[in-house]
Amino acid sequence: MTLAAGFLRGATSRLLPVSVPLRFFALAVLSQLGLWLTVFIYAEALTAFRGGLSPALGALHILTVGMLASTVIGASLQILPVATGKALPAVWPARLIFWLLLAGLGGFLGGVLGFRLLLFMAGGAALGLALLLFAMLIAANLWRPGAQRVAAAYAGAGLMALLATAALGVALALDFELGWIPSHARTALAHLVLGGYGFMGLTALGFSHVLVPMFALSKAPAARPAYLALAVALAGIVSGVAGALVDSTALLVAAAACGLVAVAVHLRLMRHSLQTGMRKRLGLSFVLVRGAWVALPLSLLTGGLVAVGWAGQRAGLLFGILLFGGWLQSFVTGTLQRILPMLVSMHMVAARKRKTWLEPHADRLLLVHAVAHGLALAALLIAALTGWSGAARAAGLVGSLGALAFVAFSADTAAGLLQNPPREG
Amino acid sequence: MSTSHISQALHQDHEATVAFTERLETLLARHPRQPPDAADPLVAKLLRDLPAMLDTEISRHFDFEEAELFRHLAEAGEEDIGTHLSEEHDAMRPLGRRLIELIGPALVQGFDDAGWKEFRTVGAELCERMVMHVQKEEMVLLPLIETSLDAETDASLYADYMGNN
Repeated sequence: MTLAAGFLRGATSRLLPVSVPLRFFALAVLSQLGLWLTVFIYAEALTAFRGGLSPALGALHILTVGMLASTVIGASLQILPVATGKALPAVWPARLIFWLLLAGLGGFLGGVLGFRLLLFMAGGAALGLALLLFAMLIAANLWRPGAQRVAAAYAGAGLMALLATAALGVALALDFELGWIPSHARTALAHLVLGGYGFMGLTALGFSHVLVPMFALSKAPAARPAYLALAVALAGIVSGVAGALVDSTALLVAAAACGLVAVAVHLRLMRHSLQTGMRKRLGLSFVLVRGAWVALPLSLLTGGLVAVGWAGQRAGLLFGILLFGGWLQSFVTGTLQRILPMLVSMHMVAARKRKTWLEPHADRLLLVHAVAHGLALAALLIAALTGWSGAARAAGLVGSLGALAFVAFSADTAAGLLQNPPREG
Repeated sequence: MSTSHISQALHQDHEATVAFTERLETLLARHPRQPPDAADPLVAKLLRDLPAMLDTEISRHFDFEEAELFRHLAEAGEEDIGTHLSEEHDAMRPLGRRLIELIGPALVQGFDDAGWKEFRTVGAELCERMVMHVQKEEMVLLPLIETSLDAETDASLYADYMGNN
C-alpha cells in the first residue's frame, strides 16, 4: 500500500485504532475544564503567583501537560505516521504513554495542590518518563522522510526540545527536595521557553503546514521559507534558554527578536495558504486560530519587554497567559474542533447515516466555547495586570462554562463512533 | 503547477463544488430552525442551481472516476484509493437524490417545517461529506494522478471526460 492510499485507508484501519488518539484528545478536553476550575478555586493564589510550589503551578501544568502536550501527542501519533508513511512499530507503547501521563499528571497535581512533595516528585518523574517514551516512539518514525517533510522537520526539532523540557522539568521537581539547582527561577524560565516555544510551539507551527492547507483546501506552503522560519525559531529558542540559564538580557531580547522574525515568516505563509484556499468559510475554529496568531507575537513582544525590565512587575504573568492561553490553548481548541469530527468520520462506516457538525446545537456549543474562551482570557489578563483575584475568579467561572460546552461538543462528536462502529482493521 | 490535464479538470470541478457547498452551508446556518423564504431570489436561485451542481459533481464526476479513472489507477497498482473514494461516493449519492426530491415541491410552495428540517439534515450531511471528500481528492488523488498516469493515458482520460460534457 502506498503512502497515498495509506492516508485514505490507513487512518481507518491500518495505522492506529481510533481509541488511541481519542483518549489523548479526551484528556485534553477534560483538562481544559480542570484548568478553568482550578483558576476559579485558587484565584487568589494564582494572582499572587511568583514561583514555587503553588496551585498556580498546578494550573499551568494542567494546561501544558494535560491539555497541550496531550493534544500534541495524540495528533503526532495520528498525523506523523501518515506524514512519513511509516506506521508505528506497535500500539501498546502509545497506550502506556497515556496511562503514565495520566498517573504522572495526577501525582503532580496531588502533590502541588496537597503540598505533598514526594507525590509531586513522583508525578514529575512519571511525566518525564511518559514524554521520554513518546519521544522514543516517534523519533524512529521521523528518521524516514515522507511527503510532509516540513511538518516532520518541525516535529523533530520539537522532539529535541521535549527531551530537554522533560529533563529540566524532572530536575526542577527534584530540586524542591534536593536543592541542587543554583537558580530554580532561571531554570524554570528555561523549562518554560523549551516547553512553550520549543516542544509545543514548534509542533504547532509544523502541524499548521499540514492542517491549515487541509482545512482551507489550498496547496502546502512553500518549503524554503518554512525551513528558514524553523532555523530562526530554533536560534531564538537556543538563545532564550541560554539567556534564561545565564541570566543574560541580551540573549533573551535576541530570542524574542528571532521569535518575531520566525513568526512573521510563518504567518505570511499561513495567510497565503488561506488566501489561495478554495474553502473560505472556515468557521469559528479559525476565529480561535487567528486569535492564537495574534497572541503568539504579542507573547514574544511581552517577553522581550519583561527581559529588559520595561513591562512592570506583573508582566511576567501576562507573558505566560499570552503564551500558553492566548497562543497555544486558542490554537489547540481551534484545531481540535476540526480534527475531532474529521477523525471520527474517517473511522466510521462510510455508508451509514450519522450526525453532522452542522447541527444547530453543535454550532451553539462551539460559539459558547469561543466566546467564553475569549472572555476568560481577557479577565485573566486583567487579573494579571491588576492583581485583582475577582477577575481571575470570573475568568475561572466563564472559562469553565466554555470548557463544559467544549466537552459536550467533543462527547457528542465522539458519540458517533458508538452509533457507527469503526470498521475492522 | 499541475501537468496533468485530467487532474486540472477535476481540480476545477472541486473549486466549483466547494464554492457551491459554501453557499448551501451559509443558507443552512442562517436558518437553523425556521425555513427560509423559498421565494427570496437568492434562496430560489440556490435551489434552482442545486440539481445542476449535484448532476455535475455527483453524476458526471463520480461516475467518470469510478468507470475510468479508478480503473487506470488500479492498473497502476493503486486500487485502494479507488475503493475508498467509491465508498464515499456511494454514501453521498442517496443524499444528493433526496435533496433534489425535496427541492421540487419547495420551489413551488416553499418549505414546510418538516421539509426544511429534512432538507437541512440531509444538506448538512452532504456538505460535510463533500468537503472532506474534496479534501482527500485534493490531497491524495490529484497528486497520485500526476505520478501514476502517463501522458497518453492522461490525454485519453481528459478527452473522455470533456466528451461527457
